[in-house]
Amino acid sequence: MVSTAATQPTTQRPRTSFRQFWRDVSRNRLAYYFLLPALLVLAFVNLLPMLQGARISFQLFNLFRPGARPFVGLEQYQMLVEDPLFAKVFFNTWYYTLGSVACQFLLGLLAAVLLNQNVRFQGLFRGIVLIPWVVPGSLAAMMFGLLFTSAGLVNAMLNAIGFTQLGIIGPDHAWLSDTRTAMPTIILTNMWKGFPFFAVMFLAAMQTIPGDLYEAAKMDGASPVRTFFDITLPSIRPTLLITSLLGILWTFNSIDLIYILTSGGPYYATLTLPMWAYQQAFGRGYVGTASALAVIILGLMALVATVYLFVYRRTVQQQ
Amino acid sequence: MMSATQTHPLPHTSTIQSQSRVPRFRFSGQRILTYALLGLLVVMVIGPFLWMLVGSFRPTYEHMQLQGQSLWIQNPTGENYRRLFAEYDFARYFLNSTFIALVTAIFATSISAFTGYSLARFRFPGRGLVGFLILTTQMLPAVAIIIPLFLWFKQFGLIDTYLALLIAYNAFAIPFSTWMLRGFFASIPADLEEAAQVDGASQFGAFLQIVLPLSAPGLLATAIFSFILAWQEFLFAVTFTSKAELRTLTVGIASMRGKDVIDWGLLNAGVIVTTVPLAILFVLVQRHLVQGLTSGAIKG
Repeated sequence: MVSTAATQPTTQRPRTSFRQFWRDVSRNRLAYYFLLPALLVLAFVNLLPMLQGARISFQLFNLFRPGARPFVGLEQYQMLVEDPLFAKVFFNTWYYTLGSVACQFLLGLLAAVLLNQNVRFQGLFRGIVLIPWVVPGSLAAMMFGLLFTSAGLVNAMLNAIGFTQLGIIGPDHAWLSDTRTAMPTIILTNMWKGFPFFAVMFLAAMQTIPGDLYEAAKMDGASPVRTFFDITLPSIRPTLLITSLLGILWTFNSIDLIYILTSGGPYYATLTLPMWAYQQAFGRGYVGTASALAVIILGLMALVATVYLFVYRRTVQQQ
Repeated sequence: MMSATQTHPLPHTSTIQSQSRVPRFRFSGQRILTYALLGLLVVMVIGPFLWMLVGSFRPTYEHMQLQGQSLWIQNPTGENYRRLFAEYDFARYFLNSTFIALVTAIFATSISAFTGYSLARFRFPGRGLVGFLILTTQMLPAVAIIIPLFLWFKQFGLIDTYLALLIAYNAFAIPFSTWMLRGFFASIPADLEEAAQVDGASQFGAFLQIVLPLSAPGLLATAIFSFILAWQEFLFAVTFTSKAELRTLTVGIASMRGKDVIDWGLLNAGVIVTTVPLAILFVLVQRHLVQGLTSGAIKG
């Protein structure tokens, strides 16, 4: 969406278009003044720290032992990739990210369909279903931590319906201390916390679908299920895509749920790349190693973000 | 380029409610299913809160012997709430969170108003690049920022100050706020400003006197969004503060989890006191917020 005014006079001589460029700049001087405060903040709090982080990733740097920070090149990257833990953490990260986003997507879609129906108290239902979205992630984590302890509500309910007698899990199963159930528990927590955002985005998109489409489908005698798959889903496809990609970016980077619920344990079963980087930096003081991890994360995110921006642009252009 | 009317795909929620675009129910089976599933969703959302609420009135010794016991409370008590404010400086945490979130909301919205207006109204060279930069900063991993920022803040003596958190939160709130406000500004017809300029107002004057008052609902929605963003934050708060008197609510409650013994009653009470005001605030402003969020994130 580059300004069209600057690129228009392509037929003219380069000198004139250069002058045209400066005329565009000076005519819009106020626009640049208006951008200045935000750009300054973003440069100093986002951009420069990122570059600084990249620099530190080449240095042997311990937080608790200040002093010399020798340049070690790519040594810390090599160390990380060769660490047997790396593959596990890499897998965990995608398990956590894709698992959470898939659950949020499906539940969000279901919620959006339900909240789009003509029901009594529609506004109230919408308000209530969106509540988890404003509950701080760290608190949602603590709530679910309490629900899933060995004496928590979940076990009490599973005992009540006799599920624990099947022998799959014990009657006082500690969900977050078992390597098999720790990550699913975290994903469940994340689903609860994150599905309202998906629901809101999907609901908003559903409401832009012209009513005539549904009228026509009704005339043709299409069933509600058919209507959903043939009209609703294709109409909101761009939103489904964009929301999922945004969800992947946010979930991948989020630490607070894991930080509160397991801190990466038990036996690294829930350790993700960002959590690992955080622990390396603030738990053990290995700032250099942590920064190298952060750069790797940045690279992965740049890939996802490229896809996101591509999809975003195409959607905007379509409209 | 998008026209001004396309920027708001989501009509005001209240107007949606009165329209019936959705197909009418043809048989009651579908209606029953809808209500049943909605009920299930509500239980799923409210359930954990209710369990916390019950737990917050349960005395500590009952929590200890809960194993396989009844889910109800034998001897309800308000002791947990009393201790929350007596043994922990809970009021202080609450004030800290409110102060930081308020200041973030005010600053981020003010700064973003200029940025958003600039992107919505001017066709200047570099506009695409700036838009791209602001969009991508939203996606930066927190962990890539927090380490260098911590080192700098330590160097400048900003650790254990409100300023450290305010700087970080503003940097996170500005991109999203800019995106939201850009949508609001684009939906205001440019004729009004042009008319004011014909009458002798400067471009800046037209922005202050015409555009800002007209976008008051948008500004409010954006401010509330930033408020919630700052209020929810945990990672930066726990990293940049160590003194008890600087703790925000999220950090304060996390600090109540002892290493060996977990005081269940206290934790339950803390969660309730922290989330209920926010949930009520949210249900009150939900319409504006949802409108702004969707118009900002999808349409830009």
